[in-house]
Amino acid sequence: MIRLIQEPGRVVGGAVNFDGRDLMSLSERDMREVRGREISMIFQDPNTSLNPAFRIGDQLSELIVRYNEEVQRSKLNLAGVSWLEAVGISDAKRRISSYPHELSGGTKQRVMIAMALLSKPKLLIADEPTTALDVTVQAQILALIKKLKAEIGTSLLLITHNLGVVAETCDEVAIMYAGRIVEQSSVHDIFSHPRHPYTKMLLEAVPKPGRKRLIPIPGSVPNLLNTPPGCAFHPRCPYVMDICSKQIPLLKNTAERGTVACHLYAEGEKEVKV
Amino acid sequence: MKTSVLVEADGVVKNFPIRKSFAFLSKERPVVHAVDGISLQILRGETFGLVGESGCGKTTLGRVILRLINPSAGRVLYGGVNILTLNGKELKNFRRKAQIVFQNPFGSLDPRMKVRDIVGYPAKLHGLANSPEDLRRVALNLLKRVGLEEDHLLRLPHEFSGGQRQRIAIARALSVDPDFIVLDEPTSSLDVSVQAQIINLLQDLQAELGLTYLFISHNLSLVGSVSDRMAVMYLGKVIEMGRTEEVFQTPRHPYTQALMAANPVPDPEAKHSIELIKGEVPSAISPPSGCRYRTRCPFVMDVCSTAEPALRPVSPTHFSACHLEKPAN
Repeated sequence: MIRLIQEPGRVVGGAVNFDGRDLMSLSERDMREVRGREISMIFQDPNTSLNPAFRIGDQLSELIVRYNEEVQRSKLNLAGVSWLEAVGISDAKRRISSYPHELSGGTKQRVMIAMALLSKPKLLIADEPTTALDVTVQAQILALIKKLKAEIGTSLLLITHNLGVVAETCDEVAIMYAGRIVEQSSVHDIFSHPRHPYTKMLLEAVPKPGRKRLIPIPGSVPNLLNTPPGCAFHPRCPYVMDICSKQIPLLKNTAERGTVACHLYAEGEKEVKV
Repeated sequence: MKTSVLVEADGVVKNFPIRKSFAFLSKERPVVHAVDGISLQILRGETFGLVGESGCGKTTLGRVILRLINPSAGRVLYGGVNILTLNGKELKNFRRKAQIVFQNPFGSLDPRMKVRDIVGYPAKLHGLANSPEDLRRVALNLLKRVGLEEDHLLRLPHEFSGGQRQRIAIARALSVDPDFIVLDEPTSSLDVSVQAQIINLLQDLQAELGLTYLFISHNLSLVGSVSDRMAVMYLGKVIEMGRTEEVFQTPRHPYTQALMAANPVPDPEAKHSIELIKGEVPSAISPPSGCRYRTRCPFVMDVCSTAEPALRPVSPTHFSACHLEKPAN
């Protein structure tokens, strides 16, 4: 979406409409203005996101100069310290001079969040931001993201495989499988009334205390070089019909709310088969 | 029905000295107190869950229990016998009976060995497969048992997905007919749906072969789902232990409570506790005096910095190491 795909990958079609503009049609120069300023991104592994050769103060300053132009050069360090405090890093005046390797994973992610949010972006993309962190640190980081997001008014695109994180953090959910969105709705709707068989089975496969037996999804994720014909999920689907191997189901509106891409559902109608 | 104790850790301590020289400090070399006095019992046939966050010592404890690392102090008993006194044939026999499946399916299989050999070699080592035909037969049986196929025998690890590699690792662990398997984060690097397949496989095998598992994981929900009894570790200590159902229904230790509150559940209606745990885990080189959790505990009292709380009974099958618990009589 923010044109970070590297060779040999290419975007071959479609548009990304952001605030009235199609990002795919922008020049790289214009795109660079959007990236980091209007749309920010944080990644999963804080160890590879921060430059190990520079102190975090310098890495922050580089961005403050670029995105907080009102800050005077002489006050860069102060601004950096207040950002570190805003993301909950204790002893910020001292730690701003640290190198990344001197910080824990949770602290590094907090620095990343500061770096991503100091431009007050309209959209923050967070790609598995807490997967590498312990569960208590994860809770702190998610709470921090929620809080700052509310303060700044940023929209959040959270990418994760953790359904618990989705349930606690998100308002709207899209489920993807083999490169397509197979279902989308509000978070309450997805969890209480999952429609797509993949969504249903995913929820059954999640470990819950007290649930002794997990119900796995048979088979495995398809090789994207060789996706099954028709609906990519059909070889693993307990509700498979003839049409499923012949025609790719399109995303359709459901009767209540949200969309689903599955031949079990006709446009605007309730489920055909249980 | 009384079940016998298969594995027992008795006051296990494991320290790792730090190599850097601190010339300006005292003569004592700093050590990482990875495991600092742990006692627990694993019953035959059960799944014992060991949960904790990174740095708590759970992996180290798992390895000490198998004598992959020697403890600095304490004993490990297997079938009532101190494994640290075993030598030669007896030690080899213990190593046959007690196996491990590691976390990293990408690092635990020799990339240059064919699957047939990875799975068959332990059997060969223990005299259970004495000819190439034997080895192939043993390997094929095991692969089928874990849901893999005959034409996987001659392939190399890199040709398989993470889930398949874990199946190979499980097949390898089973190849010598063990009684006890340490599962160290066996599904942490796998997707939810693959994890479910592997967990089911492990449960089926346990029922079929009467296996005993030590299930180590940082995933609280998973431990809550698969284990019969469990222990929660923090900075080298067990802070709560008991029947899994009890620990989940009434977590007593403030750290367990914080872990459970922090654990995201796939239910948007579930109440989220606002009481978050503060700060980060202190250093394992110089852990806090008294109760190690006191620096982050919302209920901290004076006694917590002077005296370390022992595990105190909440019920006959549930213990918590906290001064808030009434001491045992």
